[in-house]
Amino acid sequence: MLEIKGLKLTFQGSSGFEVIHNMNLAIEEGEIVGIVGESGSGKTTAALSVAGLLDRRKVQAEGSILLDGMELLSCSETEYQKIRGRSISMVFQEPLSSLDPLMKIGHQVEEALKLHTNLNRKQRRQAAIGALRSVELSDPELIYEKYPHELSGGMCQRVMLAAAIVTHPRLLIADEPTTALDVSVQAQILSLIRRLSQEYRMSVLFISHDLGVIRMLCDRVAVMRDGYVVEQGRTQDIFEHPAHAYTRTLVAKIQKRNDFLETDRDPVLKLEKVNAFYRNGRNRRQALYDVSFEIRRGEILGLVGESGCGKSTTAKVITGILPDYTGTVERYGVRPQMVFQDPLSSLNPSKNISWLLEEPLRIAGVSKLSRRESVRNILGRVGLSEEHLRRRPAELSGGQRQRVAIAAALIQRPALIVADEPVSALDVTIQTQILDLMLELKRELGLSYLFISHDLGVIYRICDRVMIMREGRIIEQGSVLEIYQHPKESYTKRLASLAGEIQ
Amino acid sequence: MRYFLKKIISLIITLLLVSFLAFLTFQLISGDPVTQMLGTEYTEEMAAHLRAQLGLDDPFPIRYFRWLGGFITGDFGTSYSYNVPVSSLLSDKLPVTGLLSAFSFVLLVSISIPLGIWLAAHEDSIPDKIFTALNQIAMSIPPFFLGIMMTLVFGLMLHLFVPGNYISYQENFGASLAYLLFPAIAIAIPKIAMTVKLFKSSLHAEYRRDYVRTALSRGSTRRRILYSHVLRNAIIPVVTFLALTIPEIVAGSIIIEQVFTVPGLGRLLVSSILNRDYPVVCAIVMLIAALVILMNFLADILYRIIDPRIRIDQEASK
Repeated sequence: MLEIKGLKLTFQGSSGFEVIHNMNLAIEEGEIVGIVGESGSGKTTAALSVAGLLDRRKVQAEGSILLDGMELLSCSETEYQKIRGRSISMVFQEPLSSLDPLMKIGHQVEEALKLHTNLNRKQRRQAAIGALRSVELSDPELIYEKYPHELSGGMCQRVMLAAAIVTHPRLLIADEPTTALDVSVQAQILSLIRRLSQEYRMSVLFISHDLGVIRMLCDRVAVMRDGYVVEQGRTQDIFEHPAHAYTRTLVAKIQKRNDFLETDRDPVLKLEKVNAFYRNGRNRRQALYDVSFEIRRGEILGLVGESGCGKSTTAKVITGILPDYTGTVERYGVRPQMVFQDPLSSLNPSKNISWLLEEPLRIAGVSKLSRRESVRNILGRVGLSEEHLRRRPAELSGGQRQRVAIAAALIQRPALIVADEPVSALDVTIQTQILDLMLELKRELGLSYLFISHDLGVIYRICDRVMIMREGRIIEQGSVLEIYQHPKESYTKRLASLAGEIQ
Repeated sequence: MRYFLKKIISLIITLLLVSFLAFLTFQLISGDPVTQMLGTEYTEEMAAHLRAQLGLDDPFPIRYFRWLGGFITGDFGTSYSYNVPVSSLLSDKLPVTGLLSAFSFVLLVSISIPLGIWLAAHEDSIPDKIFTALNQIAMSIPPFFLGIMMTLVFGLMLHLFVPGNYISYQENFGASLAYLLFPAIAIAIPKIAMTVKLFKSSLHAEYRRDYVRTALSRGSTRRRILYSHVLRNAIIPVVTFLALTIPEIVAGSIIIEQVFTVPGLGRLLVSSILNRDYPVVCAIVMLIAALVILMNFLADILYRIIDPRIRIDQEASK
C-alpha cells in the first residue's frame, strides 16, 4: 500500500547534508509497522516526508514514495493538501499542544471533513461524534463542546486519533503518540490504535524510541540509526534474533535477567506508617498515606506510579527536605543523596564541574587538598576524565551531566542514593550507559538505590524489588518478577500488561 | 457573575484612591488659587473673604469629602478662573479630544492589524525589511515632534491643510475630520509601529506551535490555518496592548492639541494647571483615570470572549 524506495533526504543550505540514506520500507494494507530509533536517528524526518510536511525549500528528496501506486514525491503542495487528512493522517507526541487551544474539540475533529468532503454542518457533527465514540470517549456529545484544556492528556490523544480517523484514511502516521502519557494510559492508547487499524483496514506507521511499545503493537519493525535503516523484519524475529549490533544493544535493554538480590540483608532505610503533608497557606494537604517499606544494603528498590502519585514526595521525606510528616523514618546513620531527572537544571550553570563536585566537601570543611583528591578518585568511578573538570554543565552532553550528578551524590560516600527519574531525559543508548554505571556502583560499593521511574522497562532491568504507588499509597510491593508476572491489584495488572509484552 | 461583581467593586475602590491622591497632590504643590484669581492688586481682606467663599479655609478632609460628594452627584464644582461650572467647560472640550482620540485609535487598529498579517505572511520580503528598519525610528519619535514636522511639511509646504484653522465638528463634521487626520496620524504612528512589531512576533510564535503542524497534517491551506487557527491565538496579546494604548492615545491627544491648536481638553488642562484651577484639573485627572480603568476592564472582558482558558481559570478560583 505504501512503498518507500531508495529515499534520500538532503537538507539544503551552505552545508547541505544527507539525513536519510537510501531508505526502503513497505507497509501492507492494515499492517502496523514500527520505526524505532533514538532522537536524531531520522525516524521523524522520514515520517514527515511521507506526509509531505517537510519544507520543500529546505529539504530535497530523492527516490520514491508510492501510496497505492501514486508517486507522492512529485505531488505539488496543492495536490498534497488533498492527500493529507484524507488518505494520510497523523497524530503527534504532545496531544495538548497539538490541538488549537481556542477551538472546540468538535470543530477540530470535523476540520478534515470540512476540507475534504461536501458534508453539511449536521452530517459533519454526526460524523465527528461517531469518531469520538469510536475512540472510546464516553459522552461524545459533551466532549464535542469542550476545549482542549478541559481534557486530560490521554483524552486529548484520543481526540487527536478521532480527528485523524474521521475521514477513514488509508494510512495513519503516529509519531511517539504515547511518549508524553502516563504508563497506564499508554497501554490504552496502544490497544486503541490496534483496534482502529483492524476496524478500518488502516495501515499504521508507528514511530517510537520505546522498544517495549513497538513490541506490543507492531507487526513489523524497522530499526533506524543515523539516517540508515540498519535492520527490518517481523517484530518477533527482530526481538528473538537481532542481527545488527545496534539492535542487539536495544533488545538487551529489555531482556530477561536473573541476578536478583537475595533478601536477607541489613536494612539501610526503613519507613513506617509515614503520612506526609504539604502546606499551602491555611490548607494542609496530605500527600502520603501510611507508607511503609525498607531498603536493604546493596538493593535497588523501584518506585513506580503516575505523575502526582507521591513518588517525589517519598523522596523528599527520605532526604529530609519535607519535614512535615508523621510516622518513623529510620535512616541507620545513613545520609541519602539525590540524583534528579534533569541534571542541567539541577547543577549551577555558572560554576565548573570541579567546583560543583567539591561543594559538598567544602561545606563539610574538608581541606582543599583532600577535596581535590576525592574528586579525582570519583571521576574515574563515574567514567569522566580530568579534562571535564574545568567545563561548565552546559558544555557537557546529557549523559555526561548525569554522570556529574551521580559523582556529586557519591562524593559524600552515601550508602543510599535516591534517584528520581534519572534516565528519563536521556536517549536509549545513553540510558543504558547510565544504568550500567549505577549497577556497577552497586556491585562495587554496595550502594543501595531508591529508583523512581515511570518506565517499566528500566525498572525491570535494574531493580530487585518494586513498589507500585497510587494516590499517595503503596498499593503493592514485591520482587520484580512477582509484580510483573503475578500482579494482584487491578491497577498493577494494567501497568504490567504493558510490561508483560516486554518480557 | 460573581467575578464581575468583584471586579466592579475593585474598580470603584481604585477610582476612590485616585480621587484622593489627585486631590491631595494639588493641596501639596505650591501656589494659591486665590492670589491667581485676584491678580496683582488685592488686600489681605479680599483674599480672606474669597478664600472663605470658596471654602478653602476648611480642613482638608472636609474639603475632600465635599468635593467627592459633589463629584458623585455629578456636580464637578465651579472653575475658579472661568467662573462657570466645570461640567459645562468639559462638555465643550471633551468631544473634541474624544473625537481626535477615537479617530487616532481607529487608524491604529485598521492599519496595524492588516499590515501585521501581511508582513508576517511575507517574511523577509523587501517591504518587510523596509518596515523593520523604519519601525525602530517610528517607535522612538515623540508624537509632538512628528506633529511639528507634519505641520511644516503638509501644512506650510504642501498646503494640504491650514495649520490653526480647526473647524468645529458641529459646523462641518467632514471638514473637522479632515483637519484632525494629521494630528491623529501623528499620535498613531509610533503606536502602529509598536503594535505591528508585537503582532508580527506573536504571529510568528503561533506559526511555530504544534497545532499548526496538526492543521497542516489535515490538509489545511496556509490561508485557512491563518484565519481559523493562528489569528485568534496571536491576537490575544495584541488586544491587551491595544486596550492599554487607549489612555496613552488620550494623553497623546492632549499634547498634540497644542501643536495643531485644536481646542480640546489639552489646552484647558494646561491653562488650568497654570492658574491653579483645581476643580478643573481634578475633574480631568479623574476622567482619564476612569478611562484607564474602564479600558482595562473592557480588555478583560474581551479576553474572556476570545480565550476559553481564562473563563475556566476564573471559575476555578472562585
